[in-house]
Amino acid sequence: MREIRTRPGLTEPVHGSQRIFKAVLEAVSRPGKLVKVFDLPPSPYAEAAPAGGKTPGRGLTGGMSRGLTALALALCDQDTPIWLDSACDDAETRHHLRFHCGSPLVKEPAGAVFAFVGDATRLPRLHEFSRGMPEYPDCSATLIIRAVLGGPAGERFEFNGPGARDAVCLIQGLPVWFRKSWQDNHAGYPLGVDALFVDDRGAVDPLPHFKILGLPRGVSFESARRPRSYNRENLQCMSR
Amino acid sequence: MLKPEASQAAAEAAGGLKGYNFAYLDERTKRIIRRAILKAVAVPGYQVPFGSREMPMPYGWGTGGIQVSAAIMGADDVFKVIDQGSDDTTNAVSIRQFFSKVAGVKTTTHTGEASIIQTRHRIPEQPLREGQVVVYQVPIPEPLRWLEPSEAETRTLHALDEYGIMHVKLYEDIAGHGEIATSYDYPVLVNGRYVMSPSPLPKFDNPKMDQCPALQLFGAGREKRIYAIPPYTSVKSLDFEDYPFHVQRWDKACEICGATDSYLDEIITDDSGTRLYVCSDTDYCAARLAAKDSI
Repeated sequence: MREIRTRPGLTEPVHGSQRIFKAVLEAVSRPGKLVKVFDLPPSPYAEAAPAGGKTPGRGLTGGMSRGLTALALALCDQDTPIWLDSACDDAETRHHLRFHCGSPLVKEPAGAVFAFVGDATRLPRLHEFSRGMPEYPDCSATLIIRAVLGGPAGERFEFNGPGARDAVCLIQGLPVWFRKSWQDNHAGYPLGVDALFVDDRGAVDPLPHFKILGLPRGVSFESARRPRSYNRENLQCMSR
Repeated sequence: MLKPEASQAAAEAAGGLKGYNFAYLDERTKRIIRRAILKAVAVPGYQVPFGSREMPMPYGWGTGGIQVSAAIMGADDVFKVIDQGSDDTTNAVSIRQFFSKVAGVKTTTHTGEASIIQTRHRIPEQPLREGQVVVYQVPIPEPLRWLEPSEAETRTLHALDEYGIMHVKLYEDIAGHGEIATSYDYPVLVNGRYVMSPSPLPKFDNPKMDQCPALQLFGAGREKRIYAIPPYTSVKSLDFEDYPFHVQRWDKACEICGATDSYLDEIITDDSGTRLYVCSDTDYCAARLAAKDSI
């Protein structure tokens, strides 16, 4: 068996978690807005991975990236079962999450509170994740998906819903069925999964950072849901 | 991971209280609250249960608001607390001092300067801006509670989007008083889905919640619920077509600053019933007065 060396977590566990959370909060409350975070923890993988070696693409383009790791360290603990997709599911990541978060790792997407998706093209169908119960819509999964955000290439998504104001974002790397599937997810509101997209390209910048994009279930890619007229509905209710 | 001494030094450098984590709560509790806040923002108006902690003050003094503030607060935040609009009441002063002690954050009384505004029963008169967070202290988060005592029942009513009893209550107001007599904690419909208690705000403040640029978070410590309204979200006060929602008006102006557009408090000044009307929002009143003096 390969020896796995424990890698460090956040440099500033208290203030770093707070800044990452605050960025996630900003992203969720302003869907469509790209939020920058400068608290990048080390990746779960040993730095000495040779370029073009056994583990190609890890750290920057595949696997549990530093951006995904940051969100895991800030949000997950023993109360939050985690599901890892095949790109993230390796011995190093499992060890890293068990050591720093203490989270149970689950095999089925349905059991996850947080799902980490390193390869968006192989994202499971959204209905495989927990969408909550009518009495407890908060008991639903949050998907944390790695993607390329804000261009230059990618599919154009128009965000409509609470907090989204003329918000348009390019997202690259999603499967073709995503838009339709998300609309179905949105149609089940207030049930449904919430998604966060993470773009790590900034990790190699002189000022290393990553970007977060929030996509809560209330957001539709079609033009804004018209608020129901409460009076009218009430009258219908009375006349029934 | 930092060594204990190093993290202690870091806490002190950030201005925290020795022997306590930054902003009082431990990290696990903060994570519980943070996750609840994220789900609350994802489903505006829905009350997310959370593991509320005992705080070093009694329930009813804002323990829910304090826990939400502690979970979102960073070292560079500027914190303002108001109680019924006032920055200088016991509750406001104590909570402000609490956070300046346990988190070392800068505090202010000016609405414009604050990044987090914790409030009991008022929204500041000065329009809020993007990037600000308003934290409401909530005693009873369930708007249907006075109509239906069972939590299982109210939860089902929310799940089924069945708010008939609330409309019957408002209708009974009209039948009994000729108008909707509810003047505070006036129920609102958030994002066209959930009926929500805006905490005991005067209904004067309800229109400020609609399409507000600031994020609004609600914490109920005793009842262990967190709910939220993201920025730019529809918040509609319930009413009827023939009895539309309206806010309180006064035929008086504030006797200190002369404002005619603010929420006025009535103060009885002697035994013969002499009354004085002044702005409830002390910061707004003081700012108007300062602007007048400088002319």
